[in-house]
Amino acid sequence: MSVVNLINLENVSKYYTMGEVQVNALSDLSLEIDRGKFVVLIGPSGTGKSTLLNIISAIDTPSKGRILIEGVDISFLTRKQRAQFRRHKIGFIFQFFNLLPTLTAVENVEFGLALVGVTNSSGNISYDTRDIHSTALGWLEKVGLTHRANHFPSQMSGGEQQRVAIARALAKDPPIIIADEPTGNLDFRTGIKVLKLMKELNKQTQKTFIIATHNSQLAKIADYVISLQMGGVETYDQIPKEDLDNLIW
Amino acid sequence: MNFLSQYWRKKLIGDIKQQKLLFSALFFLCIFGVGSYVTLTMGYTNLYASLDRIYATTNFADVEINTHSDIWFNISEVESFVKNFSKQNPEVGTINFRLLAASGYNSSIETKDGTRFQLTAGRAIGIDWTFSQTEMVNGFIFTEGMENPNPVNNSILLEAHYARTYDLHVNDSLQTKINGQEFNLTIQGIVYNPESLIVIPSRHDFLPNNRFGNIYLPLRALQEYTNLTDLANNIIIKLADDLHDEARSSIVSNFYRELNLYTTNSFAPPIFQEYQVSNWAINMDLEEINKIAIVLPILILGVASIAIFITLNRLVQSQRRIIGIASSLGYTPNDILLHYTSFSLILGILGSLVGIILGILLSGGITWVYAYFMGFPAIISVELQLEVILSAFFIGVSVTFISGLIPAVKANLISPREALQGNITVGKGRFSFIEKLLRIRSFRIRFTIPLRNLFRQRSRTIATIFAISASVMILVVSGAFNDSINTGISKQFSETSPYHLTVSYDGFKFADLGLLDDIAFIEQLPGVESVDPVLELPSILETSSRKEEALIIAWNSSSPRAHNFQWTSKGDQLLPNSSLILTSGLARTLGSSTGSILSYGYPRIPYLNSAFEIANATWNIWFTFGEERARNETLDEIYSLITRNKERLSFSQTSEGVNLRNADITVTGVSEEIWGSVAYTTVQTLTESMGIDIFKNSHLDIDLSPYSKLILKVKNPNNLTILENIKTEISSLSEIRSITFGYDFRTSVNLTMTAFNVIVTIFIIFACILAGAAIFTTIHINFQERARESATMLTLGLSDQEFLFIITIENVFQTIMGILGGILPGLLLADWILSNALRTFYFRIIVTPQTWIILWFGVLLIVLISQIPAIIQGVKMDLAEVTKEFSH
Repeated sequence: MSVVNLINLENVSKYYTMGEVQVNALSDLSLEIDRGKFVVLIGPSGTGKSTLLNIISAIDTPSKGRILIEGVDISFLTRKQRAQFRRHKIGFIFQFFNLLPTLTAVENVEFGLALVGVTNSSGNISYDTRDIHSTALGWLEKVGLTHRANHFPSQMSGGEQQRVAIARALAKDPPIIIADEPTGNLDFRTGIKVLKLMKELNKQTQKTFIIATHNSQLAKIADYVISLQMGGVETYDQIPKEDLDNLIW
Repeated sequence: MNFLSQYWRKKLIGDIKQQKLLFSALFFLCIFGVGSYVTLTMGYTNLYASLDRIYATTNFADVEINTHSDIWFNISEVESFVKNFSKQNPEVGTINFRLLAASGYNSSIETKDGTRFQLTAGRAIGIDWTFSQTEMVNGFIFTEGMENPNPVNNSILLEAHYARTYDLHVNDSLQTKINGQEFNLTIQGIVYNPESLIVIPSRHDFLPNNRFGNIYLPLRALQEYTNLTDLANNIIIKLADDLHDEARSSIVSNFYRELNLYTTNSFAPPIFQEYQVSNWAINMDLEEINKIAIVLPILILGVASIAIFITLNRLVQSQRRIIGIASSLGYTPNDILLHYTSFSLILGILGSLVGIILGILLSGGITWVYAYFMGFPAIISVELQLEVILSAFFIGVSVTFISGLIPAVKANLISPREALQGNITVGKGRFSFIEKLLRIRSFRIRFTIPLRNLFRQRSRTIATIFAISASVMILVVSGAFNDSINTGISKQFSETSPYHLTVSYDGFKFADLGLLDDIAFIEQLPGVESVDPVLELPSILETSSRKEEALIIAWNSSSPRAHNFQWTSKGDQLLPNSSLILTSGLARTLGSSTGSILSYGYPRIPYLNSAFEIANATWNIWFTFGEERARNETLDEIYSLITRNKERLSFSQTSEGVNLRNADITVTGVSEEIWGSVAYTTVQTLTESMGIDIFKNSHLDIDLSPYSKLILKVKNPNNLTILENIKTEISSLSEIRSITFGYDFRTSVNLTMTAFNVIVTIFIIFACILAGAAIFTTIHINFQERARESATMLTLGLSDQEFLFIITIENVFQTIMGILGGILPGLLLADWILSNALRTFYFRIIVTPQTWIILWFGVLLIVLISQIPAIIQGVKMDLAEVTKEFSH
């Protein structure tokens, strides 16, 4: 029995047409990502980091090539199928947190859970508000924010908001967590705390984290690095070289 | 001077292009508000201008003076008085003498069942045809026939409404009854006359009635037909132009005073042009348009101003960064202020200009529509009224400018440091009032989000609700008009007055002088169910503070078979003697209710009283020959007196023309009916007051109670053949002036309401467009402001349907609140308009369940349609781009 990679990209290209000019955001990219990896996607602006994340998370579709997630081709799904795919397979962490401002911390986590339901004590999928609520509270506890459960985003710091966003992303138990510049809007110390949390959760949950950043220092904490450069792509496995406490940028 | 720097100019154009949908909606609202103001205001004044032209062309009398009901004047005598008066008062322009006489016509009309004959009522007006058009007061506009007819004795001019209803043309003959005799008259012209632009028989027979035939014939011919040689009973006066009101009033009162001295009080008070019945009715209609011309633009511009405020506020919020950068680069606060006010100024200026042009074009249409439905000559006068154009421009620009000024000042006050920090603040999350109140913490998220969105920016939500409420108000007004009028009319004719035929006598018919015989004859006709004789008299009812003209309908029994009173309170009773039942409209106007005591003026008919004195003398003379002989001789004498002097036994058309005595009477009930100035009593009550009962209660035992109408019910009203047979049999009786079918009368009422229904339809269209534009604007802005949230939800895997559900729930919530908020003000506004605009009718405000259902579903549907562009925008959103947008 062959082991299927979590993510397979086969000769993926993405073109945009801006006026009369065609811009190549990704060109003939192939790569494989295993389960449970802490992947850091680095590269200067304009090299296609966000495009790659968008294609993996089915927000966008490739112009050419195939993307297989858990062996399933998602390259040309319909809009509805892509929404379903994102709902079940992807957890998102955004640079600006993107918590829903009218929902409290726990409700933001519940929002993600309500889309997929939770597995209750008898092993069935439940959409019961009480089950969802208790699961959401459990996740807030994991990110250390039980005391902030009933606070609205406007009442929380940036770091706290990002931790809620992490809880929201992980709570629905997707195999892939996509984080586009997750520390981009945080100060250094808070950023480190958030990264630590993500690393810990990566270990605990064995979810695949794909973090896009323009900060090449973060590559040091990854166990798989995708480096997008103007000339092409370089990928390599590594044992993380730096402890997060020693990281400087 | 450079109005806006190049950068801001470009940016302004860019903003407008970027927001083209919103800009278009706001632009439309401005056009709509200003356009409706100009259309209605100019339409209203154009209608007046059009009327003035008709009145000027036809020399419409400034004042009319009638003799009391049983008096005629000798023309040559009064003419010499008039000449003297005119010499001393050159302001008196032209004076014509006329003879007015009641008449009836036998005319045929095409129905779905074939040709049907109708015996209709009308008025014969004898005029001096030797006058030229300029000399003739109340002249004609010819629609058919020669303008200078050469009349022979049997030729007439026929009023256009009647001619149109019965498809009569020049050279057709008209079988006419005047003073109990029949004549075959030839139509020599079809004419409009300023006295009957709306044909209303009298102020008490107030329903516009195209079946009422006015004919104009040579004075001498009518004098001959009525045995009133050299006599007349009506004076019409055209005063010099440009006389101010005081001078006009003073000359007329001097004329009237001296005329009455000269003729020993033969004349009733003068009726000025504004109280002439047709002109009075038209003015009431126009006042109604005037009221709508004020209310509708206020509502539309109110909604437009809210929409502009919300839009610009949002624009400023979303452009905080640009404002910050521009300030940092050295642009002055004035540049920024000018930029954002320019947005609303462009809207105001362009919207007002287009609205004014459209309004001017449509205002002519209003005259046309009104003239078409009311049957006026189509003289359309569109005058450019500078004051309306300027005020429309000023109002349009001011409203939009002020609405845009607050956000612009806000933009101007943003410090560069603050502005550079972030873009949009769309309100912080908070627990909703409902959650706090009900202590609910386990709403499903898809309900929680829309609920909290409502409470997130309360001012925005209130503004949206207000916009919906304004539209709902217009819809409720339209629905209430439609339902109240239709339900009122339907109930009146099917429940309250379920009669099928009315028979009008040529003047009065007295109980023992033929009326009872007529009733006996009619009752034995096949198909007749019941016959109720009634007496209709104009009167004036008075309380300590109010005075109102009313038509008193007197029944011969306290429980008439053809009338079911719709009592409004438990204390109301059947119709006892010496009491009065008010219709609810009249009760409201007089501020009276059951138990109130009113003073009422009832008509005194001098001739009738003197006729009875003669009859009494006759009795005394013949009494020596035995009672029976005396009785027969007296009856013969009365009968002879009455038939010889038929004209002398009719009332004038207005209560001013009736010599009144006053008495107190108690209101014993209020009946809910559509008539605004009708009261009921018994014939006995009236005749006792009039002094006619002397005969009835004396040893003569002759019942001389006078009646003017018979009201019939038939067993099978749908059988037209039976109805026709009954009508034919009744027309063979003597002294019958007209016979009207109940459903013909109802058709007249419906016709009267046609113009009103047109207004209702226009209202409904306005309201739907207004609701759509208002809701589209606010939903669109809400969506733009929350684009990142929406994109986040969609990115997290929310399906399009779920997304649609969340947006819809929020909008449905707002719509429900908007509908609830608009209902009560709408009902009050409808009541205000109906009670002020239709004084001759009274309609209790009714909104049927069907209308409520249509209203709720209609508004919800408009909301659902209006949110479609925003939903499409959401679905097409670049999720990756929008989720990355920076937010403060």
